[in-house]
Amino acid sequence: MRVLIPALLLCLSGIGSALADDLPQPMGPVLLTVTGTIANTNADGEARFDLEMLDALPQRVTESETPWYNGVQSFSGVKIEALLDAVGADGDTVTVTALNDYSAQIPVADFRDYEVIFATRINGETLSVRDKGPLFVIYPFDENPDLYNEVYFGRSVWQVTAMSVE
Amino acid sequence: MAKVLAKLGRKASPRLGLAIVLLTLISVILLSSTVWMFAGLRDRQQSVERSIREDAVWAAFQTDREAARLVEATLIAQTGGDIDALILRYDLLYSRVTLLGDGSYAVPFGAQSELGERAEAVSDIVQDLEPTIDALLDEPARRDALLTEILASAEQVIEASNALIVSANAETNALRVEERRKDLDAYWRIGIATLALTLTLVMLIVLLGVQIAHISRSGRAIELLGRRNAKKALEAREAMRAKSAFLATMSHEIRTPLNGILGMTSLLQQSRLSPEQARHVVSIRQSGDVLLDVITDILDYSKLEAGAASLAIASFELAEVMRSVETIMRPRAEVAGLKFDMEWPDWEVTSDPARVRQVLLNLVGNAVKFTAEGSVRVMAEVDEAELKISVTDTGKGIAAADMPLLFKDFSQIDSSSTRSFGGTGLGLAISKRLVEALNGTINVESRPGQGSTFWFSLPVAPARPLAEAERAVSHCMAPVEPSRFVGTVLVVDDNAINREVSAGLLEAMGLDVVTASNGREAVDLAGTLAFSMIFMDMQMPEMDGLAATRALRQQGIDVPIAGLTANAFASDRDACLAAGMNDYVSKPATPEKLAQVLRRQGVATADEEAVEAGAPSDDEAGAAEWTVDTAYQEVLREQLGEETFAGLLVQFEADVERLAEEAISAWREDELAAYDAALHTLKGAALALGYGGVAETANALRKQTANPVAALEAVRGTVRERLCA
Repeated sequence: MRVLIPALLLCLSGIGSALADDLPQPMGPVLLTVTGTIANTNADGEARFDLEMLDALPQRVTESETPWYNGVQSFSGVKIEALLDAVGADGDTVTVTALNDYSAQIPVADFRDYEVIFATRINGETLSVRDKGPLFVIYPFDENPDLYNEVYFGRSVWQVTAMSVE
Repeated sequence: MAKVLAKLGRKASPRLGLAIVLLTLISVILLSSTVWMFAGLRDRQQSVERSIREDAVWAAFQTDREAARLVEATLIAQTGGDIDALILRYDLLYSRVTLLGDGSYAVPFGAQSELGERAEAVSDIVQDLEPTIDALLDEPARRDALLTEILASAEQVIEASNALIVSANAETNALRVEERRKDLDAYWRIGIATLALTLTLVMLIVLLGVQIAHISRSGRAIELLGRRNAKKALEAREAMRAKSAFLATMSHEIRTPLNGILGMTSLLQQSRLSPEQARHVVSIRQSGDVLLDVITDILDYSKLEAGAASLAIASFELAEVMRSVETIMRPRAEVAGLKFDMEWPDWEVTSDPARVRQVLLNLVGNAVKFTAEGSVRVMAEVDEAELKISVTDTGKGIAAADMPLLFKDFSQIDSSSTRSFGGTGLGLAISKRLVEALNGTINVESRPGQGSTFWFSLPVAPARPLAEAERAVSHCMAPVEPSRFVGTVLVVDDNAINREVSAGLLEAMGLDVVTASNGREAVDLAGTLAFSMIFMDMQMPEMDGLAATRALRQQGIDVPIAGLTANAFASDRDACLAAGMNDYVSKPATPEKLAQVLRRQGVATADEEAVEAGAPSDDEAGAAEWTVDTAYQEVLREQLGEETFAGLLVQFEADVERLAEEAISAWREDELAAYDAALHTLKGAALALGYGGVAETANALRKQTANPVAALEAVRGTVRERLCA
């Protein structure tokens, strides 16, 4: 299985690279810049995404209580695993960086094991910087209460603008 | 036993109460310490959960940092830097500040605490700044003034957030100390609870130990009691066995010399005696018989009491038992002047014939003994496989009050009768036990002055009536069973008197007798001489009867051997047969018993010898004149007594046999003097008993010269026939 999954990924990345030149150019403000070992780019070694591009990828809604808000909130956004597939990422770890230069390393396995999203909206409204936007890493605490601890709180980076695959 | 148990109980009950109280106490301690421990653990668990949210210092620090960056961005903007970067910095600070009052941060930053107040101060300044920031884009003309305002506010935020950090840190430290105190408290609680649990366990173990000790102590006490009881039982059994052994030994010791007395008396009776001597001999014989009865009673009783009596159940003809009783009892009854009647059906029944005979002899013996005049009547009936025999007498009867005493051990209803009638008083007790051993009942009905009826009934299945042809031929069953045998027998006995008695009795039956005083001699003799039969005593020095028998059988000598002993136990008989003996004679050895054994073992009788010799049968022989002087015989009977007279008849028959034989052989060998002497003796003997015809024939033969053999055989045959009738 461990051999199979990377093989499958390689296979998928092969398909991705065929489409590499087709990764569209962002039309609106760039929310996320992906760098590192990725196959598909739309700039100089980078894959840049605007809100429209992110919305085009597979989405998820996570309704959960978090330490940062009062009560249950509804977060919606792109599945990070799908995003990594879209850029043909080949690595074990990603480093997510926030506007305030805070960064956290997240194992790629997390995205395989859990449906972790880059939330773009809270309760249907786009996240502003004041609301910890534009992107907020949200783990599915609703489905996996075991994740409700400091380790995953630390990985729950907000105000994300960049991601690097290693 | 009961006393010891009660003692144990008294000791145990307070202890038991204490144990119950202790156990209850322990249970309560156990339960409360467990609850307490779990309460402590739950408390700690909640505290751990809460700690997830306690990140106040981090939040305050981040706020401070963002405020510093805002100051930096403002300073850059004042020197013509990017306004957008300034706005982003503000947005970041704003997002930070909202956190202070939201989510789980709300708890440590609660409004009541000092920390909450400071957080609110920071929040207020940042939020108050919002219109100014928004104005930066809307009113570029006021840019410098706005930037100065923003810088001042940002510095205020740094000041406030710094204070917040200090407060948060202090608060967190206080919380940490509090947590540590609570942890310590929880550890103490857990420790104490664990100690309590350990103590409880130790107490339980101690209680268990106490209980085990108690149980083992009780067990030991009970075991001791058990052992003591077993010892008592063993002692009782030993005592019983010793008593039985003593009785058996004593009866053996008495029977051995008595055997000598009775045997010698038998021999004496067969010799020629004056009428007075004959009477004295009869008295000796009777006294001996009574003594033997007493000893037999005691032996029987001791065996019954020890539970050693063994039954030998077999099918037998009722008639055989009844006739043997009649043979013994009729003369006694007649001597006592009583009318004696016996009636029985011809049936074959199943029981122990020897025991039935013993009981019946006892009942009839009592009836004859205690009836002064009148009659004794014995009636046997078989009805649906149940044999009932009643003995009715015309004695003085038994008072109702005395009846319960009858079947009791060692009791005679009238102590004076002990003197007048003798006996052990065991007869009825033994009879009762024997009948009960045979699953029967024994009882008595009596009317004082009119007589008594003793009866017993036994189950005798299978039982069947006998057809005419099957009925046992009424053998010649005189009080003494006269028989003539031919051959040589060996008598082995270490007691000289017994040896002489046995030898004398056997010689009287016409046998040649060789004697040996122990087994060793017997084995040597049997190796060199051919015997028709060996009578072997069991207990002898050097080599006992059983060993001698085994030795003989090993040498391949298969001569019939009969054991001869004073012990009347069935086990002795079994031992005899097991050793290779063919038969068994219990002492005292009477002529009847010996003759029975000789016949059973196929020792040639004189009759057979005669037939083998080709002697003419009775029919061919000239019929001897048979005249008997009955009046003279009546006188003899009166003077000598019935038994003595009967003995004399046997003697006479034996004499006739012997003398006829002597005469025949003398005539054949032409020894006329001997021939004449034998006939003379025969004539004398015949005259002495009133047999005139025999005397005449003998006298006539003395004077003739023709072959006298046929005539002599005829005389012998006639005598044998008549005397048996």
